[in-house]
Amino acid sequence: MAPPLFLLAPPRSYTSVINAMIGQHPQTFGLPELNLFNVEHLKDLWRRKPTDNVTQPKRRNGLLRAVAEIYGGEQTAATVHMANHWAASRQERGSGEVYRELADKLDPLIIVEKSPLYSLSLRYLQRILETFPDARFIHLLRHPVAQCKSVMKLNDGIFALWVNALEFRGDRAIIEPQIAWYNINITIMNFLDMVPERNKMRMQGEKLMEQPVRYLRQICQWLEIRDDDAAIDEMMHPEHSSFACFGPINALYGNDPNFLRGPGFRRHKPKPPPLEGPLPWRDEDGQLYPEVTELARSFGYC
Amino acid sequence: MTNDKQPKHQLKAGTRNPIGLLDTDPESTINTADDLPESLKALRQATITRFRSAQVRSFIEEQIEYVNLNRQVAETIQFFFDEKGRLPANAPIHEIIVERKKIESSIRWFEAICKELTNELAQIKEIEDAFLKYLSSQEE
Repeated sequence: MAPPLFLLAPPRSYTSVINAMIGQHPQTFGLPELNLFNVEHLKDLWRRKPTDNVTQPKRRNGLLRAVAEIYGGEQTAATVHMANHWAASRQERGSGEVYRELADKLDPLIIVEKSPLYSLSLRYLQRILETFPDARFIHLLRHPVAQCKSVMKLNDGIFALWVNALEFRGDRAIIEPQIAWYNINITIMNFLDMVPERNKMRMQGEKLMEQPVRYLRQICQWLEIRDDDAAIDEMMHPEHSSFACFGPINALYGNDPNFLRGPGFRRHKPKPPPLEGPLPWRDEDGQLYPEVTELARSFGYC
Repeated sequence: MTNDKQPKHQLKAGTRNPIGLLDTDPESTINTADDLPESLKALRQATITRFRSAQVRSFIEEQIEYVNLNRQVAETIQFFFDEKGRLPANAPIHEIIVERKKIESSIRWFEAICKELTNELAQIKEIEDAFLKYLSSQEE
């Protein structure tokens, strides 16, 4: 079985579009967010935990859409209904076992997936490696200020609040997304220390947005798959993915709704803000923490 | 914070330390909000309450806009009738049925919103009570 590829990054780091782009290569299969490794057993995806931030049905949408597409050949209310039965009959199985079954079904295509919640916990990431010891990983980067600004724009920064990214200052607590940016990247780096060098790469998302052909080709060469113009051209059309749109009424999501609304790739040159200076999400003179600045510099941002 | 989560894989996980007073790993039981000093715990809870209140406020604003829009549609429909309450012979009965269904679903939606807001209110009252109780215990 071809070892799958996982994109690891904090949320709002171009993961949706890049996952769909790589998944459009003729030798790969881009999945929606399965969220399988967040849980020990499949049935746990149907259970609510106090730590859940995504409503349950939304969290399952990606898996149901994937099963509908892979086994039913299309995503309709009827095939999603079938996918629910598929899941029910496997509810006692471990999430890794279920994932492996999907990978076997798609073999020889390389599975490409990114569920942002995987990167929150070393335990979730370890489950990936326990299931697929040869899995490959791309640590996708985004400038801390741009990523945090995007997090704060999404539902008033609910993600940062959910992961306890709080700064205590005087008589108040402030939602501070740079804590989440730092800790998630640290978790990914701690995890990737367990992964052999040949199975991991790090890439700035901004560079791929600016020079997609160059960096997609680099990824293809690393994955040892075709890197000819025809293959790269396929990858330039994430909107052609069968998961790059809203799903049927009983499994609408499976990815970032903004991506589902407009999944096309728009080549552009992101303008990273400076690492020094006031932060757009802070009223007073807030700055990046020294640890965050240092880590961003080590990632090649200035 | 990674010592209790050592991998079974041959290579070892790194030991870089996270920042912040609270753990951002949802699987971790280390350094949870329960471990915070009472004053910081209250500050955290106040931030969560403020955030929820802002969300409820913007939710209500959106819904009021929706309900107003549908009332306007209903007012438009009444011009179909003459002074004796009769419909014109060429009344678009299909559209009228559609509007009737739309208004019925608006009413159901509004009822659902009321229920949701009542639940939210109950939760927020509970948090407020706990917070006030905490403050009064501090004063004592």
